Amino acid sequence: MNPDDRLRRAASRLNAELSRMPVPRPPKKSKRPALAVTLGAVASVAVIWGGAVMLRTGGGPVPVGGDSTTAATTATTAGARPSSTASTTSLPPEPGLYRGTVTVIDEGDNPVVCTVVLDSLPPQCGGLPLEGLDWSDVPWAETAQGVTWADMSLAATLEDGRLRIVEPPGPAEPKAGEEVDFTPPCEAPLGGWVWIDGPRSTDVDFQRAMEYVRSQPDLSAAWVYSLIDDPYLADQTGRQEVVLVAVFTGDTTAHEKAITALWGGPLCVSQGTTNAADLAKIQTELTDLVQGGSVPGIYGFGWSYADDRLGKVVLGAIIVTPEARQWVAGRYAPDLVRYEAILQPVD
Amino acid sequence: MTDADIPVVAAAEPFESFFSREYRSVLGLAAVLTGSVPAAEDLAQDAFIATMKDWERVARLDNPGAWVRRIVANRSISLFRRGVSEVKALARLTRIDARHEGLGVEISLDVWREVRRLPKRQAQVIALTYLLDTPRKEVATILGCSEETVKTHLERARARLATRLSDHGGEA
Repeated sequence: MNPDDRLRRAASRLNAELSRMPVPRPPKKSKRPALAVTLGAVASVAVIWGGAVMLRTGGGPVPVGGDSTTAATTATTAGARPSSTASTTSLPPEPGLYRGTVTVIDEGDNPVVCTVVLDSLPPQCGGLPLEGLDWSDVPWAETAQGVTWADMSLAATLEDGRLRIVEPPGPAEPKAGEEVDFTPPCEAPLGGWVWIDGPRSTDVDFQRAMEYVRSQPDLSAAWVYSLIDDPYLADQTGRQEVVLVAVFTGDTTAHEKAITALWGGPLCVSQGTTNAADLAKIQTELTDLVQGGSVPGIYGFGWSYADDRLGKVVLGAIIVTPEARQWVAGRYAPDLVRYEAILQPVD
Repeated sequence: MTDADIPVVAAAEPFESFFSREYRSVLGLAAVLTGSVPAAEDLAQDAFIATMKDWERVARLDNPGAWVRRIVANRSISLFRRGVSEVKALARLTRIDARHEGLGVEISLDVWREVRRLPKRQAQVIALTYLLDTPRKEVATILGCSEETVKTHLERARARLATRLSDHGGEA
């Protein structure tokens, strides 16, 4: 079969697949957040993006929610209550009290605090059951097809894997975006990082260099630092006006020499301490452990990722108890795992 | 990006209907070029938001679809270009991705893998031509080049694909 036929056949199959996919709601201009939206609280994604979370769509069961619910119900309850820090001068906090900005979706007398929101219409999610919610306290709630949902500031206790509301919810509080610093970890050259059109500075050269970087077993992290502030201007140039940043745990001098032979653009090769492949393995293992219910005290598990740049595995959930942190700390290196919890314990 | 090379007309369409009409094809283009459904979804989202921000002007273009496709084509150069945020997006959507398994399977076919190995412009021309059935003149408009350049890219891409795909089986 010649490439023409294969391309047409593949395109036909792919278009058929696309035609079966639901079209999400369009983004809303008024809810456009800063680009650096924190993923630390997925509820905030739903809050900030609102209808703009167009990628989370479709009917049928919600895989995230299913997993999260499973994780919640199979986790032991021994660690459900965070340590109390009662003082002698004030009333002790209510045991297991948590606060945070969340999205709650109710498909009919069954409100759920969402881990990750699939922003279809109506939105869908999975998470932790919420008891005691009176929707009349949430006049800003929306309803469609029998489903009611709203973003809200929630105060609730955690009891046997279920959240119980302790006071009427308030309006959702906007969350600050997370600023991710992509600055190259190398000393800037004289005159700063600037783009110079020179040999081996085309997109093809860049791709070749990245292929080399990605194939190295001692790769710690790799990213690019754009030298063009305006993304639309960057689109116009059609060039990779970036600093290629590559971090290795091994011989950086040898790597720099090899990359320089492929890429003539700005380059920062730096020494790292964590191996990207090892980090990915830990992420996979830890995720399996959490999903399998082996890690006590993680409720509404939602996501995990290996942050190569920071050398950390990140776990995201509705609640991560001190017991969970202690369990993880006993298995992995200190500070290897970072937590992104939607609800925080009230001290 | 400027709209100097995209003809302007007076009629304006609501963004919502434009979005509904174009979303799937834009997502498909992004998926073919990036090879990742979550990355494609993010890319499509970014492209539509960028389009929406400038909608009053873009809506008056003769072909607003060319605008959003150009954004996708130009931003799909490399998964690495988007840095850690990309990694985050991929990670956070890993399980949502299961909802789009079919799309993921399609874009991992050898034929699309080989398209992604092509030089950027050639891959863009192939994706626009075959996936979206875009006429050569419109491909030139989207990519901001001449029809002759499109033709050249197309011929070179086909030749390269013919060689590379002969090494693979007959899938797709």
